Amino acid sequence: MIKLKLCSLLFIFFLKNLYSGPIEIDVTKGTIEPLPIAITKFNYKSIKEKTISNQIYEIVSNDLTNSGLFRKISDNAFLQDEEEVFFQPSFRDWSLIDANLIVSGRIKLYNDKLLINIKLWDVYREKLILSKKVEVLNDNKLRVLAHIISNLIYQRVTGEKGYFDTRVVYIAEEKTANNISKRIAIMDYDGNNHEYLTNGKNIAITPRFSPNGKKIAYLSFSDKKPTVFLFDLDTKKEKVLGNFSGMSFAPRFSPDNKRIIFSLTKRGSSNIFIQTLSNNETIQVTNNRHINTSPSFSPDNKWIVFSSDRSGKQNLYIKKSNDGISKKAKRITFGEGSYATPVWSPRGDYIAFTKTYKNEFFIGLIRKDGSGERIIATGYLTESPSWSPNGRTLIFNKVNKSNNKLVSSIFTIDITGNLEKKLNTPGEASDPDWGPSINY
Amino acid sequence: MNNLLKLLLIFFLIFNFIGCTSQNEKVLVEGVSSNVSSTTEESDKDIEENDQNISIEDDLSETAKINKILNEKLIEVGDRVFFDYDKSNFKKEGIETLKRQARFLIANQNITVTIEGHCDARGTREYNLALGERRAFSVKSFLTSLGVEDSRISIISFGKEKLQSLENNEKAWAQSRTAITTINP
Repeated sequence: MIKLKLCSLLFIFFLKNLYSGPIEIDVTKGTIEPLPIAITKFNYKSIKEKTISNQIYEIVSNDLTNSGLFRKISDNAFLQDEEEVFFQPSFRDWSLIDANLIVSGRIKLYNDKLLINIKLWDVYREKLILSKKVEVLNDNKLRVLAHIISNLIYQRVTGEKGYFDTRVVYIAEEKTANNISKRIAIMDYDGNNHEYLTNGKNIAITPRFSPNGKKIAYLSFSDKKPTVFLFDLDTKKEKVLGNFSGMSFAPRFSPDNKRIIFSLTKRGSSNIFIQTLSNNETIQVTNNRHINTSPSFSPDNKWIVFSSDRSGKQNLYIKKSNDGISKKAKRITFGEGSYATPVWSPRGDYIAFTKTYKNEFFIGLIRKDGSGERIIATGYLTESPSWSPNGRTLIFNKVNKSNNKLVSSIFTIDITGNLEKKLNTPGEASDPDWGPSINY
Repeated sequence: MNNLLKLLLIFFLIFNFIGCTSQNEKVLVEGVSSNVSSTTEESDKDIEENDQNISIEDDLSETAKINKILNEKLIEVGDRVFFDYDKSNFKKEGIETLKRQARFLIANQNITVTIEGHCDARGTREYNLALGERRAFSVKSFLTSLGVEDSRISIISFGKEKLQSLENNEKAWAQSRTAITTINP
């Protein structure tokens, strides 16, 4: 039950109990049914409005079904048209086709502005549960606008902030006979507006958004040794993080955008450092002969979590970010196998990680105090989880094996581990990182 | 000036030749290679060809040529050692390879090398970068303990980014868990 309380599934549980009598939900078995939703076409008057209406309908439908929380009911089943339903749905008609929710809306173009009214109806309670006006300058922000509408619906139903207007960076992989090219690509979370940021001449890996969405930190082999670079998304220019004697790698921004935490090698050891971007001042956080890497800040910037093999195998450790090397880190994982790539949820409640045990790979969650460990995904190879801005969904890299061929893709999964979804990319993909909402 | 360069090059090649021959003798003593005589013949031929070319080619491509020969020598000596899963101490058979590498490097004082650390695909990316670095460093430490100057050896980690085999089985993974010594151009 605790697991259920944590997420939107509680809502489904609640709805199901309320409307269709008690049902059993076992979150460990993945038997959650998505909510049936009727999405009616948005009302319009002009031909230009019609085109916009169709586009928005497609995007919203795609967003809501992609979330895994909703099942779209076919338009053919609708007994009432979009004009009538916008003013007053005939709830009996909608319950006949088993709709739990109805989305309806109206589009108006005036004075170069686009106005959208959006309504969400609860069929069983026979109530309007959301009614909003969204207005934008009618430029090329149509997709963003549609995503905002999806966000409003998602938020009303789950109580969580929507993530449909976010972007993702990842590594696009191209395999030839004996070589792999790896370059950074950026796209909207739904695969649109896809763009390559590096040319593939050098291997680029582990891209990470700054929380404000302006920069990307990543590792490039373009120099003589692997080095952390910062890519500015506005100017499209990049620069090295710093000139270090060893290899710099595993970069991640602090939630306040001001610092980068990363690993630096020296004499075969890897230790963790924090660099302040404004003055290039660097402080050391770990100091031992082991491998200390994959550091990540807590959302309040006060703590860090990282993996270290100081115990003989990789485990997760936390310590205060301003303690420097003076204090020892606290170990939080004690299970079998190795724990790697920890990343702190933006809500602060969980740390996601990759676990390897007996040649199997898992994505799991654990609390800061080491309690509540559970596995939410597995595969031939799974790694590099990254949180959605609302801290309720993860994006991760999964390599599937089919006919002894390996195919690398990126997937999203909610924190219960039930709603797993593959993201569409033009080719093979790895190292995803989930960015913030698009600026508008 | 040109004559002086030529002289230096010839001197270098002779030095190299002596270095290689004595190298092969040692290999023979250790009983590792059975085709020592044929490889010696091949290197003789290489050097003869080189001798003919010296007078017509510029200094730079000569250097490249010498490097090519040295690279071939290094591969003969053994350019790589292997590791167990998640380990950074090389396997026992690597000790002899590295002893030969050390002799080769001591005999050819004018080259510097980079040791590339590699991992298999069955680990996480960032940890593997660190592990590759540690593997390369353990090879460097062993070579310096055998008398190769520290300043002549750089290290780099490729983690799991340059797999030695893209196949997908234990044999391929074992091939990828390696540290490879390469001569700097």
